[in-house]
Amino acid sequence: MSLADIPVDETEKLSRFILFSKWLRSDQTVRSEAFIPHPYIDLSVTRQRNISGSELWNLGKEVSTIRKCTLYGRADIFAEPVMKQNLTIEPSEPPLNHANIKGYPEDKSKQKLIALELAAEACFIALG
Amino acid sequence: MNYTVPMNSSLAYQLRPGLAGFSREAVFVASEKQSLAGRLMETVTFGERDRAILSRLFSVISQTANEGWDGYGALPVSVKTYIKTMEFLCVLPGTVKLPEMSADPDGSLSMEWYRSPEWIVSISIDGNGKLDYAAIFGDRKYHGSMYFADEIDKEVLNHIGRV
Amino acid sequence: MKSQYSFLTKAPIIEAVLEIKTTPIPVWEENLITGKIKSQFSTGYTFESENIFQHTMQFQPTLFASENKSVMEWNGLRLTSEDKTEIVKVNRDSYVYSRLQPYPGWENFKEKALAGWNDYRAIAGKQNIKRIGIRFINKIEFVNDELSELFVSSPRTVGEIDKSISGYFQQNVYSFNKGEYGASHIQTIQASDINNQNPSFILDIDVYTSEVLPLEEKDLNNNLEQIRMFKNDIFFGAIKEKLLERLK
Repeated sequence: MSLADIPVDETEKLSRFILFSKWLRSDQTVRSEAFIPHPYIDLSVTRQRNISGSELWNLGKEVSTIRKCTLYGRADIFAEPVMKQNLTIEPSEPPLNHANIKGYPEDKSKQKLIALELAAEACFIALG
Repeated sequence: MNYTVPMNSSLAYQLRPGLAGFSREAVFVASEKQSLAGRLMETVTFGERDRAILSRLFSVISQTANEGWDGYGALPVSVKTYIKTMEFLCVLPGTVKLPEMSADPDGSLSMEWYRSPEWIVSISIDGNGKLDYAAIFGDRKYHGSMYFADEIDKEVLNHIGRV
Repeated sequence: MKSQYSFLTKAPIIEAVLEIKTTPIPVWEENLITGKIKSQFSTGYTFESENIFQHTMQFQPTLFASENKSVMEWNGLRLTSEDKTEIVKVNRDSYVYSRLQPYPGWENFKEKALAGWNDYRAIAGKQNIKRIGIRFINKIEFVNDELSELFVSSPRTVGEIDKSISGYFQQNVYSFNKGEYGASHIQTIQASDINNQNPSFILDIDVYTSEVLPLEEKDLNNNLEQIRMFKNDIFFGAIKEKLLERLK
């Protein structure tokens, strides 16, 4: 079922797939680089709403297959801390359950600060 | 004799290239420096830290050489970015621990000094030497941008030193 | 007692360099910048593009690089005067002026260097200065064992077993004005060659600052005088009376 017309609620969980090993620390916490936007000033995430865990992993595996990268896991974060940063989360399908976090400032150092705070709120879930 | 304890005893820092020069003698001096640096780098005593720098950088570079390395369209890290970051790491005082290395989707290299999510410094450098940093120390937050030439800004150094 | 500021008719300067590092020029496109440089800098220079070579490799799980990509990236322009005594380098984030032999004197060197800097500014626009440095490379031929009579610090053997010195490199790094200025003082020996039948002692001094940065052009001139003073302090402090007399 498409979520394209359903706004993101602050209690929703979002996932950022981790396909670069250096975005994880040795203690399995997520580094801020995973939340730096590029090439546009928005960040691609997947909503966990209305899909199962395996469906969510399948979406991640699709990305890793297309990009020929290794899927290490995902960084889960609630929408609330994202919204507290004065960022918006806009549904953007396809692909299924895709959304963009928008509203990052253009200044990179400010982006970094936001990313540090989001990473602190995120929880890493390893694949497998 | 007045002796100031060097802030930076890194071999690479001490023997880094100075100002430009085009005469045969300038080339000769540069070559002598490089040769000396090479010989000392081979030793454990002098080369350990600089080898660690190279190793950490290479570990990131090898994974970020292709476009889209993050699965979302990231730019590859360029040679210039690598060189600029190497220069930064080589002028880091020897008393400061080396950071964990990573890369940003825009192709810059990032360095992190981490104690906890509430006590952390993150610095990114691109191929032009533009340096962006963010730091969190409890309820105090800092961020800023500057250009790195060959000396690290005091404010940035202070932040790193606090971790 | 030697004067620190004695005028030397035979100053042993092989090369004098002024280097100013700035924030990068925002638009750095080869054709555009080359055109500007050629029209801005006075005639009498030959121009040569400088490139840096970037080589990227694609790593696959097999550990062998499966794809190589080589890119030449334009790094700026090098201008050489017709008589080959002056070299100017225009880079995205620096301006370099080098004067080779014969050294025309401080005022002439400074005037030409600053004229080139103004040309660079006309091309680069208002970029912030990040670092200023001056480098003087001196070369003094010597014979036999006279080094200790010419230089305050010179190579010497130690121990009792007969030996000779076959290489020498010494670098002192100084800090002036509580770290506002830094200096590198290098001494090394260059072997004799077809141009010099005797070996030469190289005294390479470079003084720089990233702290005291001029906001106005007149401040730049004052800054350079200060840097020159530190350079002279090192030079005249490194040589002995015998050499000083030889150079006067």
